[in-house]
Amino acid sequence: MLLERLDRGWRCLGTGLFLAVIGLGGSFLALTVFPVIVLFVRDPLARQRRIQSVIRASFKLYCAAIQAFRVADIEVIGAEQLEQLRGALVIANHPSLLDVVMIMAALPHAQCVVKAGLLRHPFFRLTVQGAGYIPNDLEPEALMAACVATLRAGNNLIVFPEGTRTIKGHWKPFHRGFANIATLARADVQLLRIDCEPSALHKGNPWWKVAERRTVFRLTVGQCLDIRQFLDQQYRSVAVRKLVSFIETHYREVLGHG
Amino acid sequence: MTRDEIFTTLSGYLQEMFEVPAERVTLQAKLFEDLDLDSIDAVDLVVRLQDLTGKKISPEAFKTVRTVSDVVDRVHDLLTE
Repeated sequence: MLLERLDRGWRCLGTGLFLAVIGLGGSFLALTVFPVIVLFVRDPLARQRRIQSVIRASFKLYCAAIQAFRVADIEVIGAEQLEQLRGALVIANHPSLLDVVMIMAALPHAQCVVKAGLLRHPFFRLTVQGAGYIPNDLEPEALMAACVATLRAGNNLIVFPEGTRTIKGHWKPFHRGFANIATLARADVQLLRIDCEPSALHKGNPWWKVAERRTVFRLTVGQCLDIRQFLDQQYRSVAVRKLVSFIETHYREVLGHG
Repeated sequence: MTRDEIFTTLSGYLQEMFEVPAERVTLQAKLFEDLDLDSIDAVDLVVRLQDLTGKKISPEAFKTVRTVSDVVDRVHDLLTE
């Protein structure tokens, strides 16, 4: 009983601590390592790669620390499948705040679409720009063009088709944006599945309300869909709709939604 | 082409390109809200309409288009220019 309460208290404290570490660690890197990279690596692509790999290493360390301090368990199944992945659109369901951290720790050459505010943020501007992340306030056509360009350059672009965090049982219809990107870029689609049991860091739940048991975050690497099987249509717009419905059905099945 | 003919042709495009059920295509239907098109679909539709009219349609001219009837008007204007 006492042990259980201690464990819960520790996880609550640890969750707060690790949330603070993201902000502090991110700011620290943004003010030290990343400016040095920007200064010394002048070629934009080489700079992108360098920043991406520092971010990946940092997130790997972060996940390992969460595990080591027993704040939560983090499991990745099939991570080796991602090592050789290039120029793929990477999609996942989105139950928690930790999702993007887990994915970026596991995925080489990771790219994402970020809040446009980060590009104006005094600390993060340099990093976000240097990493080549795409701001979310572009006009739809410019946003598509930026996503296609990054995929063509061999980056793996992470997109959450639900558009926002959703917890089990609260199904959200998938946006078509990801399928527009995949068909325009003719990029393969790597499926990821994230389970988070019991729920933690989900939408609408304050971080200090930790569950009774320690949460297990599990990232499962699924199949990589060859986009060509969907492009065999007279119209791209029809291919998009087929792709969305295929993937939506797939996620509903594996996640056990109605 | 008369407005009716344009509407019939456009209705066909909406059905085959965007899987819109025929009964939902009315003159008042809003492309984005009612027929579930997105802005990238609109680009594809403009390209298709360029083929139909044989004329260049500037994306700006299409920015203000909201309903099926707006599209019919725009195409009709192009053809009678």
